[in-house]
Amino acid sequence: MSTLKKISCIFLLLSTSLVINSSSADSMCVMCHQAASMNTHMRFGGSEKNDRQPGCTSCHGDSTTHLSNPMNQSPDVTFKSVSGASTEPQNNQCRACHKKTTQHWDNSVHALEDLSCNSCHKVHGQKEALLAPEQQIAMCTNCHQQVRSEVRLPSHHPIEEAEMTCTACHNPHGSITPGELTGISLNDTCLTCHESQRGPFLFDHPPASDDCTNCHRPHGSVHEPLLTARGPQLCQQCHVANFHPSDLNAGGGLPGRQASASLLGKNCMSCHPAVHGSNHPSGARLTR
Amino acid sequence: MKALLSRTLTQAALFSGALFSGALFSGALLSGALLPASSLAATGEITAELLHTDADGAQFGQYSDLQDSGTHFRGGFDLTGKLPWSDRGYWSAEAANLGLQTYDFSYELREPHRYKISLTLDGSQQFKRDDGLTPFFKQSGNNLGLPANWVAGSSTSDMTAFSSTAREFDQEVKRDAIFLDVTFYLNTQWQLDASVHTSKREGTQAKGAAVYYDASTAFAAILPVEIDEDSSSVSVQLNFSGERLVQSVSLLYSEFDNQVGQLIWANPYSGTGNADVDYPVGRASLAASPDNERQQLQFSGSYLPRIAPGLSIQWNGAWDQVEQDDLLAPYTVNPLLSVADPLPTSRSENNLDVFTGGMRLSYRPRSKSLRNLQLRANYFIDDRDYNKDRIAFNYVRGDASDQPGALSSIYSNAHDYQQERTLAGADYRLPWLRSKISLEYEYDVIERQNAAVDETETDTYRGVFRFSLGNDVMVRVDGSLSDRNASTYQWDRSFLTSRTADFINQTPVDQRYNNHPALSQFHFSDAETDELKLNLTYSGLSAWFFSVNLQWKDIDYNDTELGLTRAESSFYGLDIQYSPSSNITGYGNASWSGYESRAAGRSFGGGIEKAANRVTPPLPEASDPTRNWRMGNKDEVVTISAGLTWKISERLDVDANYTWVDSESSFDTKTGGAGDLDTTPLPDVDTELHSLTLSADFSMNERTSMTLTYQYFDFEETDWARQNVSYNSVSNLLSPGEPEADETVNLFAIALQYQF
Repeated sequence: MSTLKKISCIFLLLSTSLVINSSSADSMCVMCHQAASMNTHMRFGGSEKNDRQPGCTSCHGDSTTHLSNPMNQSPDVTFKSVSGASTEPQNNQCRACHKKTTQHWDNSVHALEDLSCNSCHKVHGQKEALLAPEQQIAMCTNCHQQVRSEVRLPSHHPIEEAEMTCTACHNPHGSITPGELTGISLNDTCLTCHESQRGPFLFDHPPASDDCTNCHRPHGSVHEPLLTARGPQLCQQCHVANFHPSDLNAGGGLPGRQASASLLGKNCMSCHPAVHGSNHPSGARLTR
Repeated sequence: MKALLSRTLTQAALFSGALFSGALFSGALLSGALLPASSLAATGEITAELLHTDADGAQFGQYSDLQDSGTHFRGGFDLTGKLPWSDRGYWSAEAANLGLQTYDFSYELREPHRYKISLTLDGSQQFKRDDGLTPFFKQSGNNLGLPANWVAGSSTSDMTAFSSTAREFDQEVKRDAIFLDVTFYLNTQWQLDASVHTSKREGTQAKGAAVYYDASTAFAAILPVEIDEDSSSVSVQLNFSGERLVQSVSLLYSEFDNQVGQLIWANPYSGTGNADVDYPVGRASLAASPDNERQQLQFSGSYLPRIAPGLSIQWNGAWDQVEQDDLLAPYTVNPLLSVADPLPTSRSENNLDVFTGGMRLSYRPRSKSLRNLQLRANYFIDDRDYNKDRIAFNYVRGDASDQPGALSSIYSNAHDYQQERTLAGADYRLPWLRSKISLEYEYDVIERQNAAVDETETDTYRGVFRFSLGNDVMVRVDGSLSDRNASTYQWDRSFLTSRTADFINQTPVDQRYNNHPALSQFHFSDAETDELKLNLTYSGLSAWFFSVNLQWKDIDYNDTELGLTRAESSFYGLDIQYSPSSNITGYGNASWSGYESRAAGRSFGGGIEKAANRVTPPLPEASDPTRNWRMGNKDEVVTISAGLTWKISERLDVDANYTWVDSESSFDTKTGGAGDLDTTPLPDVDTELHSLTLSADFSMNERTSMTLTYQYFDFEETDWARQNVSYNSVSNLLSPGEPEADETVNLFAIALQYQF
């Protein structure tokens, strides 16, 4: 802030009544902090709180000492992050209103890492940037670098294309479900979109109904569709039965040699397509 | 040319119509009697974009609907305006990708802390390819037939009419969804939410299916299978947010309705000696995913007890019931086969009752001496109860076989599952280096019904240490050790629970198994997992920011002889950011990831060869260690990305981004020495992606700006599963052909934005 502007601010503040109620305090804030009047809490700008919207003092405190000595006294609550310090005081300001959203914040992974609300959210701006899928994904992958790498692999959920966001599956504000998932369990989260795999099937495939990540890597994989390994290698991690399930499928099964249906096409799923479960009375081997 | 012009005009019409309708819709919802004209005033931005791609690209357009070369329209808007009846209320309308299948539209009416009503329309797609070939065509109902001049054979190389009769088919699935969400703020503490969602998913996907001449002889085909699925849900939630107590209760009802039933398809094979099932009379079937209904009651909340300052209690719980009772398909669609034993039930009555819930306690003492301490406890339970009668199905083994005797029936079993996880942890802020240490112990127990293992118990010990060196360096070290112990592995349980008593009694004891007795299925085997993560950030140099991320994870299935024996993953990442001023930011990141798995197997046949655990020569194959094999698979991925965002002047911004992703999957095999085991190496599978995006945004005046975008996309793969694979590469698999991906797409786009 230029010296002239500083002097002007002080003059304005000193010349104003010293008996300040919160509404007046809010309107005084923007005399110096004009840009801050644009914020996500007030769609069309403004600073004064009312019965339904917060003002400056709702988050920063009454800050009477700052108003009387703005150059040397900080507001009661500031939101600058200090590494290693607890962010509970700042976060509690936000959580005072956003109770439903942050009901599971304590003990969450982000809370344990001392993230503050403004680590991700920028209140001073007309619109919450995180509402844009591209912004959200960029924000999350700033820290979650391995995920950024995985979503760029050939087989991936449409996260890189911004057709799906991290919050489709994860709740960054905390969740009782392990992995901070939005569903009540991991499988429930996946089945929100992949409804056709919910079953329950006449003949189920227990590792699939136990845990989708037994076979899938949800952020991205080299092996389609999002598999931890391709068939038949993946299937043979659990199936060593007589005849073809126990065969070693190596290069001899490629075209030009003894091309094998276990290796090519849909590999095991060429004949066992009902890999998530079968509802056919003759589907005990997931073949129908 | 005509087709291109027609498509362009159609898209232009669609876009214009969508844009006009969107604007009208926004105004229409506000219109009514006695509203002043000024009440309809909106501010915002409208965007119209013309894109041109010079080549087809399945990988490029997989999720973006830009897979076809040509010109595309895309539009959007972001509008907002005040509600005429409220001084604080507003409406907003946003749309993106109008004109493409990946459209998004949302309209919202809101008075802060009074109500919020939003309507969202969302489209998405997954495109795989449109050049797969198939001779199958849709007949009546859900039947796939073959052309009249089809030439069948006992091998795909005999199917000489394939090329002249096959047609291309799209492997593409689209989803269109509508969401209506309403929130009423009853007062400062109570809030009522209601939601209605509905979606339709339709398209065609390639799915494998086989005709079974007996239990082990299959002739397969990749079929173009229709997808037509409707999903809908209704939910109501009541929320209370008090000073200390937050509590939500919700009811959910959802339905999944598969509009496509059982698929019946014509057998393209003949000359197998089974005239009843050979072409042209032979038919085979594939069941559809069953319809299901779901009801859920969920509650969640948190509480800060007044009597224990510093204590936070959180909980979540849900009761779910999922039901499906689809009519069962017949055992076989071949009317010439003899089926003496009818279906034991006409409907597949399967219910799943689930209770999932958890609780978290967090306690931060308020006393001065302990204020740096936090204690935590978590509990999570997932209890799934499959209410399913144990019924024997005398299923037809093959599409060419009569129904066997009842002795050969297979039981449909329930696989109940219960998991409980308990965690205790403590965190302490140390007085040095602004550091914090966390220690955790977690106990996880899973019980399963009708599985080879009744129970697994896992103990996990975890420590995290975070510290700062000044204001510039932050370090985080996270390590964990996990030990899973399984109860006795009952290798014969799957066999004993699925077979009839008569069948079991007639089977030699050392052949009473489905999977080899030495196999341990990894998801409930003994396992030791070690994990280490290291993260370091440095911001000491002005305008520079560095971040290093290292991760290793090793899972050793220490007691496994056959099956997955080891899985490892590692990640090394570096992020750099440079922002010398608020106008310019450069960034780069590089990473290497590795995923490795090793599995062991033993190759053996049936009959006497299936006798396991014999020690006296001559050893049956199942007892012979020379028939062992080991397969290792390693995926290595290198990702490099760099970019620049530069506000050159008040009117000109430029962005550039380059991304390179290179993956290599390698396979190595070893055998125990048996001469007939395939030791031919499998080639590596490689993929490489280059993507360069350049854009410039120029403000022509206060209200209008123009964005020029160029994107270069190049994707190549070398994959033995797709190399030289045509319809007749495999004698018993009729394939649509599997070309390797090799695409280069240049995208040019010009967009106009108008702000008002």
